[in-house]
Amino acid sequence: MIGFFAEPLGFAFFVRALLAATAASAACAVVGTFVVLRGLTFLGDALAHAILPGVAVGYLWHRGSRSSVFYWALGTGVVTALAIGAIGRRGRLKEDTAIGIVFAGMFALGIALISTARGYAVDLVHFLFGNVLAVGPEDLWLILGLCGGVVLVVLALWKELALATFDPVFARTLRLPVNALRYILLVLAAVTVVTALRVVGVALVLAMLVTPPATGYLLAKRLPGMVMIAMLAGILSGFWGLYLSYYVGIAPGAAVVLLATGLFLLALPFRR
Amino acid sequence: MKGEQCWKDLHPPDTPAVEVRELRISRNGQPVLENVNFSLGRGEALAIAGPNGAGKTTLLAAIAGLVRPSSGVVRIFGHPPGRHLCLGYLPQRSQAEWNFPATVLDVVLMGRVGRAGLLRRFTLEDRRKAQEALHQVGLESLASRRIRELSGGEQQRMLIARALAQEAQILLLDEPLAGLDVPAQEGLLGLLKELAGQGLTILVALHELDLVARYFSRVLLLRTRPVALGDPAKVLTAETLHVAYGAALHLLPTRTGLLALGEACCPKEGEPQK
Repeated sequence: MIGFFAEPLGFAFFVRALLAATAASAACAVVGTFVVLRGLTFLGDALAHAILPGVAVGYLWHRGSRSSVFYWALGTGVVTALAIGAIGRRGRLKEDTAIGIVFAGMFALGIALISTARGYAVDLVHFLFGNVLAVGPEDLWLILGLCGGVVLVVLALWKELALATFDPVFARTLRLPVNALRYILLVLAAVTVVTALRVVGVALVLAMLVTPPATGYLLAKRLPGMVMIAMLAGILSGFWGLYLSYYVGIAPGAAVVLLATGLFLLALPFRR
Repeated sequence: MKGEQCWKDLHPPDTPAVEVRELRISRNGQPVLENVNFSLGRGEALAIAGPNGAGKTTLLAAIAGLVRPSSGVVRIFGHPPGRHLCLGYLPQRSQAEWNFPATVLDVVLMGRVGRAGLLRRFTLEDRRKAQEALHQVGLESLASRRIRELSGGEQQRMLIARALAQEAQILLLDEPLAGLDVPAQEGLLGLLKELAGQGLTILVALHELDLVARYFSRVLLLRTRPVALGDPAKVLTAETLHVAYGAALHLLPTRTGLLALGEACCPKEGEPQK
């Protein structure tokens, strides 16, 4: 039994991957709770797709250096989040339609850019499906720092975020900066999505952001409980996903998401 | 009720709680509300009646500081509404997220968010105020009930408790009776009357003219402009109701007085709607 745990831990890359996957899952679960409660699920997906052109530019610019790509992804993510906020506020088109148009377009642009590089297919697969096993020591500290920062910001603004999510009109009559809170949440979502990209890739990020909070929503009666359960579900799937991937030999991102989905299905009969 | 202070401003004595002068609000060039004038002292209650689209919601939102007047003045204890925490605004029920995972007590505690300040946790004092507010509206037994399990009347009471926890001195309620059965409607109006008796200033938009006549001593009848303002027994006449509701209202003289049959909730086709 001890061997079962210890064996993969002999590989430094596995330990880094394990820590990165667990931290990203936990941060996604916390931010995702508010994303789900606000009905912004679609937006999480859009965000992930829109980051791709930024990643592509960084990839071409730095000739494939992974950690610089990370900063490009982060920058694009934050800019995109702010842009989404602006669209949602003044657009005449329905918000989801606008998001759909812009971000499918951005995604295509990203793929187009990456495809200009020779031998791009392997790297494209990494962006689409994650490459958590390639997380370097420097990346790991960045991921841990960002995830910790995101969780701290959510804890600090807890009651304001909760109120603005439950009843934005009432929040405005209490003179809370409702718009600023909305932008903060979008930026937090962007940061978590970028960290999760390393673990599960563009295609599956949505699951990290939405599935564990949905599990929490089924089981919890109050918001703190929902976040705790979401975090637990996220951490369990991040941690065990990596082991599953190691022993069964499947892609780590897919293993993490499959476990998260499994936990959600397990929770379904116990909903309250 | 705690002191006179409402967040940033001390309330000067003798200023009306709510004062509206020459208020005009237009949207896309069309007036939604104009020539509105009234003032309310502490502990006064005003019913705002009128057909759909008459501007009731806009008027309440303007007093809450959520809609900017095109011209005219709104004063809350002598100050612009944007600077006050003492306004408890209850928008139409559908606007809150009722599937939010929270208990009744959680929601009432939200009334304390403005007072607790950023980065602070709720104190014992906050919790005590929330419990007290629940007691005032008669919901203490439901404190740990999940909010989506509440009936319509209980939801309204919870939102009033939240305003009380906020230490609101002015309550603005937008159609709080919609969707409630008659006993729940009367219970709620009874509660509001009690709160007015304790010094709260209360404005209620509603459709139920019979209840207006029974529970309020002042009514503002609106149809973009004020049609009548004053004691319901005097100002709700066949004439003013016809001006306000037009063809949507049928008046029957009966032995006990005038009976008004309205279709205020669902205007007929072809009826002017703004």
